[in-house]
Amino acid sequence: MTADPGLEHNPLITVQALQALHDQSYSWALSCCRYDRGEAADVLQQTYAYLIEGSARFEGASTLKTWLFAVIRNVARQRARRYWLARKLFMAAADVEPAQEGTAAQDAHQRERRKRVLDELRQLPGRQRETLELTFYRELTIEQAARVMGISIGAARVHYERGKRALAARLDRDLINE
Amino acid sequence: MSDQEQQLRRVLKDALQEGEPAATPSFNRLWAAAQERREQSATAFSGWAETFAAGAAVASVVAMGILIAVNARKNGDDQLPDTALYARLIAQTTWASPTDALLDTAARYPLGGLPELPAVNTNPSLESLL
Repeated sequence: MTADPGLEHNPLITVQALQALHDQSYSWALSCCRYDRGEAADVLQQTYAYLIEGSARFEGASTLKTWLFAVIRNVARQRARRYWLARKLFMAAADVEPAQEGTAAQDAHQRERRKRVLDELRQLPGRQRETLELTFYRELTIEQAARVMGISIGAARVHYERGKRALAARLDRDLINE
Repeated sequence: MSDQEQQLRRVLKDALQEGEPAATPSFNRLWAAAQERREQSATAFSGWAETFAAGAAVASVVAMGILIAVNARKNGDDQLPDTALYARLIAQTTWASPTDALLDTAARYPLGGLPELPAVNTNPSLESLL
């Protein structure tokens, strides 16, 4: 099997496969970076650099999407730790709201509803929030979400159940059944 | 999956989907930047490694010299390297060959020997020395 140029250290990955996952990867990177777009692009770029140099090596033990999400999450956390002080001092504005493109035409009710759901989601503990996002939105199984987060399946199930219950309790019935 | 769970999934999905960015940075741009970053870091590491190796070599030589000097000062000649001790010993030694005195005249003076000195003093100026 011949590796793609630039991916000699990761022969099980093709550039086409990465390209196909690119939008989802960026979206997940955004979520891991508190919706800071510049940081998300840097995280994704650094992830690709790790793939090229072989620091992150795909062995085929899971799906490429699961593995790539785990790498992106680790890179985002690594950068968050490294640049924590700089961010505190100079980039307080980086903690921005999610993208607002296309919302101008939406009615105020829809915007308000969405904002409330996202606010409530953000109030959940980090692992619960990640588990719900990965399973409900990113279409991963709980097992795959556990791999992405680097925790056991049992722990992921607990986070899933607790997160689900907490979110349902926070959102009133009207909002859920709307 | 319960009804409530399905509703929750739908609500969450809608909310997160609306927050999706309209424009994702191009894959080709990020991929090219990643390759460039990889090349730059490899070059930077190579230069850094060479500088580090040269610095380490110089530092080890200097450290060894300092260590020898300090030890020699503290412990005297005991800690000097053998070569320095031998050089000092040779410089302080006078060489003689006592076995020459045991040879007979012919062997000692193979070119005919020294002229015979007169057995009786014929020089009056040396009288006072006797």
